[in-house]
Amino acid sequence: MTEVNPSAVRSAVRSATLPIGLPAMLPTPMRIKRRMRDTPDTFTIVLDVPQPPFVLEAGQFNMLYAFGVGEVPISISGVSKNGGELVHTIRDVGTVTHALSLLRKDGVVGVRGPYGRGWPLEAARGKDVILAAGGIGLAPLRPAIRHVLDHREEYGRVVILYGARTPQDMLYLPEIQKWRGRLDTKMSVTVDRASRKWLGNVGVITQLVAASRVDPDETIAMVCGPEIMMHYMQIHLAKLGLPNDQIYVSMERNMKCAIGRCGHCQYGGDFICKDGPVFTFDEIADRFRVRAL
Amino acid sequence: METSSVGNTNTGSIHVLAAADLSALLEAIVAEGYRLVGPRIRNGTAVLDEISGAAQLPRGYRDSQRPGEYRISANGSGETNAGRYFDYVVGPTSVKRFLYPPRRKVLEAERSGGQWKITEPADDYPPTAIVGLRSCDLAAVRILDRVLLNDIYPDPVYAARRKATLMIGVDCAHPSETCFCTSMGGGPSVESGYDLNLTELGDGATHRFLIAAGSDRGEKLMASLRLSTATSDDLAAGAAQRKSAEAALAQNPPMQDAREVLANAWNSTRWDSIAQRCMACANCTMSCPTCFCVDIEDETDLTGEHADRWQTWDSCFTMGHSYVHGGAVRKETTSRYRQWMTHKLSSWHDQFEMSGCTGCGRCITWCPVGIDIREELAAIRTDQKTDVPEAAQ
Repeated sequence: MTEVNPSAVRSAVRSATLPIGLPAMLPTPMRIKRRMRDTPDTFTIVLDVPQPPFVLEAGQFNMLYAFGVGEVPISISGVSKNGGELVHTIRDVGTVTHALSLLRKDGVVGVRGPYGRGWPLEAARGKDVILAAGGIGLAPLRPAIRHVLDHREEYGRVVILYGARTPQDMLYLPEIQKWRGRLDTKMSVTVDRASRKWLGNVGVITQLVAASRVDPDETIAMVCGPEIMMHYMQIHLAKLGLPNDQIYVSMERNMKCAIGRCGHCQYGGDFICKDGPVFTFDEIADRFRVRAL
Repeated sequence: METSSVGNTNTGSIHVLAAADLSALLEAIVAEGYRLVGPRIRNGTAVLDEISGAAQLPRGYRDSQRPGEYRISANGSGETNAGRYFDYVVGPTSVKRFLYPPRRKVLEAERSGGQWKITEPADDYPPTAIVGLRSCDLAAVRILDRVLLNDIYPDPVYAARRKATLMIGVDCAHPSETCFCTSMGGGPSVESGYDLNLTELGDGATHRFLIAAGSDRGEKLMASLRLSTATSDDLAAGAAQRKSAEAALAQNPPMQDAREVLANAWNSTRWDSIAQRCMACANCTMSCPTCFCVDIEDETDLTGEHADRWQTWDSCFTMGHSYVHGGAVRKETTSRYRQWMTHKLSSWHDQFEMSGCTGCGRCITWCPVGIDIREELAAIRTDQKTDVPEAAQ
């Protein structure tokens, strides 16, 4: 009863391996090796994978368990090359994420996953790529950015766009500076507001889109941020000439099980957990702008 | 899947079981090691619960169901059915309660120092025979099978319970006003998914059952019973009863286009009209035999070192159902009713290649304000036909 029935998979989960923890949704305890504070409300934990490698697809997520408190879906923001370290960046906004925020080095987190459909790194090969993140949306996009930059020769022009609230709210600053320093990649950053010491862009991320010198017929855009940001990004990417089936977005809804059974993450005819979280805009265009769906 | 070998359509020969031998059938089932579950009258409703044998089955009852209204009484209709067992239809409970229980402990976790021990508690579901399942109940099982067994991550506990459950169907003789199984492509008689199926005929001296097996387990039970071959009169009586039940359902509006109608109805103004009546009480989802949403919650003891995780039925009518950081996505009843009805009748097709509705009518009967999903579908369809398309304005 536990094996996967491939004929029933509408949107194939393409990972080579099954998520850990199935069939009974058992979390695997993992020790925190390092913990970093990214911004006043956001932190990153690096987990020690007991049986490496942890195999995943960029854009997938794990269910993280704070003992006795509950589970939350958190996208995977990195994995070490040998698959022995798993990185999650978490914003302290709810009961479970707050409990996770209280853990320090050697604290234990329950993990099951990875779940869902990730970024189209295969489909984007040989093409120009726009990777656009708003706020903590950089966390789910980072594995895709790293992949593209690590396999730079496989992609055409690469444009990375990042919008944060303030310069202090920017995630992964040292890494961003490395990306900005590359001559084979265009990385633009903007903030909503800043002090006069900030010499970069101020304003919404969409104003950076027009300067992306990509071939719209041969470009894949991967967009992750608040729905309002993805809404405007789609409009601006369409102006650039990108059709909806070349625009990928990562959606978010409530999740309790991550395996398509609990019903919470339904988004029209899709379950975000197993059919997403990454969708082409085309797949969800009929409902993306429906209020309260 | 393993379950495909049980409860499938298998038109074995039809026999006649004397009414007095219903108890022999139930005894034979108990002798096979099954716990018996069947309808009982409780709090003025017919509910599925444990029974010891045929003597505990209610007799002579008829029900009356209308939007927001349920009544059941013995000989209430003035008909003489004093001896008959199954003249009423489904009550508020359904087979889902047994296969996918309202509350179940799914994990236990112990913590000592930095060590965690997480275990899955054994499920304590005994082999169970459910007597008196209607075609809509068995349709619900087919739907739950698709959702919980034949998807990418099958539910092992549902699978085990499904396998351990013997399904005894009964053909409906008197559909209620809220029944619309035929609009959803099923009923009123049981056609598949049963181990044994009964058609109750006559009363008093003529009281008898047609009995047919739908599985090997059913065949085996039948072989242990004193049966006679069904005569052409018996079969004709069964057909006549079916025809009369079908006639009672014929007044229902057509619903075959529900998928298409609702797929384009996100912005229908009807949702606001429904929300003015809907109390978001969740009765429809709790009584629905196919609503599968569950919440998953942790509980700890006082030390905080022991945690139990519970899976409980949830409803898309609650605020918490659509919670994401920062609040609920579906804050208004408008969006919650839209989610429920659109899912049930339309997006379920996208997800599982079938409707999520069996036409059992529970959501209509048990709605405290009597919202009728049949009427609402008709209203949304009418709105769409009269709406001027935006492009034409």
